[in-house]
Amino acid sequence: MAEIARPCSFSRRSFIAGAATLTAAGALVGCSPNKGDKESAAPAGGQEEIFPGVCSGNCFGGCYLNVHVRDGRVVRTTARDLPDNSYKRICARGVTHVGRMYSAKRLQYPMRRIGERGSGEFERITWDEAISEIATKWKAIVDEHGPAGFGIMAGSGSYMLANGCLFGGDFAYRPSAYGFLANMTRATLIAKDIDKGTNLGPARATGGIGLTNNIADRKNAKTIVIWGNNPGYATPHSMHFYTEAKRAGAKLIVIDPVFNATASKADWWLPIKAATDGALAMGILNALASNGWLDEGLLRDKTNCPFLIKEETGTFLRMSDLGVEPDEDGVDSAVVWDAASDSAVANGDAVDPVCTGITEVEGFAVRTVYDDAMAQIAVYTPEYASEICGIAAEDIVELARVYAQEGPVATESNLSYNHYKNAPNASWLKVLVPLLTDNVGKSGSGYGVANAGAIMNVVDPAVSAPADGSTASRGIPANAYQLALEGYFAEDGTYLPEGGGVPLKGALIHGCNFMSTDTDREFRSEWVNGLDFMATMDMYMTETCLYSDIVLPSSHWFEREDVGGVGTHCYSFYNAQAVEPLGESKSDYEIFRMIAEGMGYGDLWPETALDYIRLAISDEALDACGITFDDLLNGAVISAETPLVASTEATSLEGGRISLYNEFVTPEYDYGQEIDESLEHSIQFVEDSDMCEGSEARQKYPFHMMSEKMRTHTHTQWCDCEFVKEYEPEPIARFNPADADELGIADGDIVKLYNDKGYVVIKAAMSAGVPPKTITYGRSWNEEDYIDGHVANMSSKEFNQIVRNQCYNDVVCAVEKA
Amino acid sequence: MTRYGMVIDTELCFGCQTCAAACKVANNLPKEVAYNTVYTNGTKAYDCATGEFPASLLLDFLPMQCQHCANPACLEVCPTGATQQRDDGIVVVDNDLCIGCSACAQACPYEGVRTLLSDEPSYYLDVVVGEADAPTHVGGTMEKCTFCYNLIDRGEVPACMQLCPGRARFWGDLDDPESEVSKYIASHETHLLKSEEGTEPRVYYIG
Repeated sequence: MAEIARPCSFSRRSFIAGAATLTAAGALVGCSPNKGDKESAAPAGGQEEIFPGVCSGNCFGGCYLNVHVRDGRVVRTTARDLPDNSYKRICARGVTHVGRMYSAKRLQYPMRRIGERGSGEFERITWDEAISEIATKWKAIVDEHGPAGFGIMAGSGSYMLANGCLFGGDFAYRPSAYGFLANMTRATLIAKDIDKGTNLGPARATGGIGLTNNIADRKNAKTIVIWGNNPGYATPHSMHFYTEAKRAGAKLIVIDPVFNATASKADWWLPIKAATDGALAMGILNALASNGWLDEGLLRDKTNCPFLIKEETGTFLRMSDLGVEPDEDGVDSAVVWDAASDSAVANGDAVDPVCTGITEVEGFAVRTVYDDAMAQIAVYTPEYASEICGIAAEDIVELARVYAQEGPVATESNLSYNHYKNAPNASWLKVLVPLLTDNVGKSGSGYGVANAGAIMNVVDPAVSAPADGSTASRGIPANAYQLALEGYFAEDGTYLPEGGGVPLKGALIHGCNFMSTDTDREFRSEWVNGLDFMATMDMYMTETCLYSDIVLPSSHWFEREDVGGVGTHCYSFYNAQAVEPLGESKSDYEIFRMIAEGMGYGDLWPETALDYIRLAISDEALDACGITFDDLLNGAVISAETPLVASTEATSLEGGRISLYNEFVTPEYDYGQEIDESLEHSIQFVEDSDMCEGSEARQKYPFHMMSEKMRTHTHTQWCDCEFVKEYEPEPIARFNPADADELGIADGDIVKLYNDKGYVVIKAAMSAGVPPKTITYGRSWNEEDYIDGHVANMSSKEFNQIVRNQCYNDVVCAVEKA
Repeated sequence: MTRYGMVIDTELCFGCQTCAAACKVANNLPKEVAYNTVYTNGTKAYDCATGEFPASLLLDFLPMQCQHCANPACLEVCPTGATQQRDDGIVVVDNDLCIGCSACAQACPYEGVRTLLSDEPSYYLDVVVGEADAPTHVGGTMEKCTFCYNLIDRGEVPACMQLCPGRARFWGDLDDPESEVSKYIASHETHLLKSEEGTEPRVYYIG
């Protein structure tokens, strides 16, 4: 391999000597504890160097940072310039990395559990012992159960190429080193596919093409509707694009149950009842139709409204039904009625397709997709939709008018709606509103959240394929995590819906803290207890580490070299190793390499992360960005040629048409669940019976628990940073003051929230922005942070019948003062 | 002459605390000492709305630090001369001279902008972080925002100004009509906190 030029840092003038230095063992020496007193610090050169770094957690920030180093230690982090500084970014997390890096909670050496799972009793071991134990246990599992008996779980802890959890492209080709290890060992890859609910709707409508414009295009919107997103908390880096657009004259509308920092910036805030967004969308579609605001030409020419649904089967009438064989490409076209020829013809051949009133074709009883959709939409008059979603009928009509007449409208929808069971249905209805009002595919419009980065544009995902080329047959597992207890895997990792495979008996956990951040903690505990062995890599002793047999100390992001960064911008970056890993911690890449060596695959591994990165990144793709690999290492950023405006010219669905009817119901995972197909074909509002007002559950447990993103944590990252505790010191449950009065709860009181599954004891706070009979709370804490119990004990592992989403928000509870 | 000043546009501030946290680290501040904090208007609880749901709600933020007044109430009352005003208008406390008498805090009309350090300030980390020339923190003395004069004296900007995610903060020389801060003041309606006190703050607010 060619020698690779090492990156340059640059110096920054600095006058006063720095302080402590680190020994190899990580102990901080050279000064007594921080007295903030220059004289107590050991005199040293004081020269400050600045390295490029990437804050790479899963907040859609992907922030490019200046990492300031003095005397071998990071002392500050600041935002680093970008080619377009409107994207320049940092937040309260990004400026407090030192609090994570030098936290007392930082893991500094490998450990072996010696007490009960979760007890926190560990002993220090050497790396040799740790790797040897992992390899021995892993091999024993492979010997007994085959390679699929061991799994690698990777979350979203860091979107970096070598050390992180980058995903994209084919499931089998996760390009980060964990994917390489999984492919090599033919382990089961355990997907943290928890956010899939809101993807299904757009996929049903368009086949899944990108509908969002670059975020820099928001200034061209006449109206921005933030609907299912709270950028003020979740993506603070993006917030200024909205407030600046508002200042420039755009109308900012926020649809959110809670009056939060994002809603507070709106010209118009619409307090929707939780989990009823589908009903609102149906109400808008109704108002659009009844006021003549739907473009019949668009419905006829750009959607599948003219398609004919056979009453008997619910599938489309096709030319083969009419005795016409599929063409030479095997295409069996859907049939439409052509008014020009007064006959049934193949979609695409019609001069004047008819959308309504066709009920019989050559003996087949049929209805058009248009008539099917309109029958559903007709039910949701603004008045009826209002009863469900709580937004006044006249406001629903006004929203419809805005979409029809105040465009271009940009619709901001992120993942927040994902965590209700009815998310897939609702997201289909939501995306139809901009699609059917011509508010996608042009400047100022769009649907979704801009979240791109550029790294996947230059990475060959096949880098993670086994280098010996002979074992690429590793099966693509389904959600092993959820289903592993049932033993649904074939030996090669292939998911077997009928059972009879092998159980998952061991796991390596990377880039996630599932014990805290996933639903149904009792189930997760059972899952862990069902394993023979679990090892976890992390920077600090997370809740998941506490349940592990072996804990491996990962280095901090700035203690290793990598390339990546994914955020609401169009760049990715080189991250230099600014300082040595603290204590005995090692980069995730190095840990994977050592494990691979222990498993007998060491010869297949590129020695360093940079070697791996060099293999993964295509020179041709970099060339298209106008840079070389050396440029990248010297601070040039990878820029994606992201179009400002998404192209919606062609959906990948039949005839390139937007779909208002779903012909076939294919569950993402078929684990033998009963599927109510009647919920999946026609556009319709599906009630979220688990938590909606009037549900059985709410009779017993009157409060809906709605989780919110935290400003100062990214999931449970920054639980280990004391600086940010000055703003968000502990878990809190926010109540509407009227509810609190009724319960006799005052600000700061300790309360117990409980339901059939579990409880949490937590501090109460009052916010008038919280809807009645609702509790909002940040979920991103570890067990040790709660006074007692855990919010994750209160949720269910149940998910939507066809898409796996974690339903954090389908939680209800009763409250008592603790 | 150079007179440093700042604008904070609260219509663009959404309360993220980045300015506060950047200040905290850059100045190696002890536990529970803040030169700069983002308050939530109308409540002591961070990030909690006030009013009645849903009709009359308020959730506004107020980033707050020393106002670096042209006519500072703290200056004359300081018995030891520790409180000083630089030629560029920045109000500083010399902790070699400060005796921690709190006269400045009592005279200042702005609450929550200074902290009397305990006898032995403690820190979150065992290591010194922040700028190499960050202020020292001497037990028993009064501390407050310095406008990061250590940074601006070498041509940089205060830590809170290095990047506001909301793009709500503007900085520069009030005597230079071409500075960012002067241009922003000229093109927006600004107000001063407690202008009736006659302290003539150099921090201007919008919204």
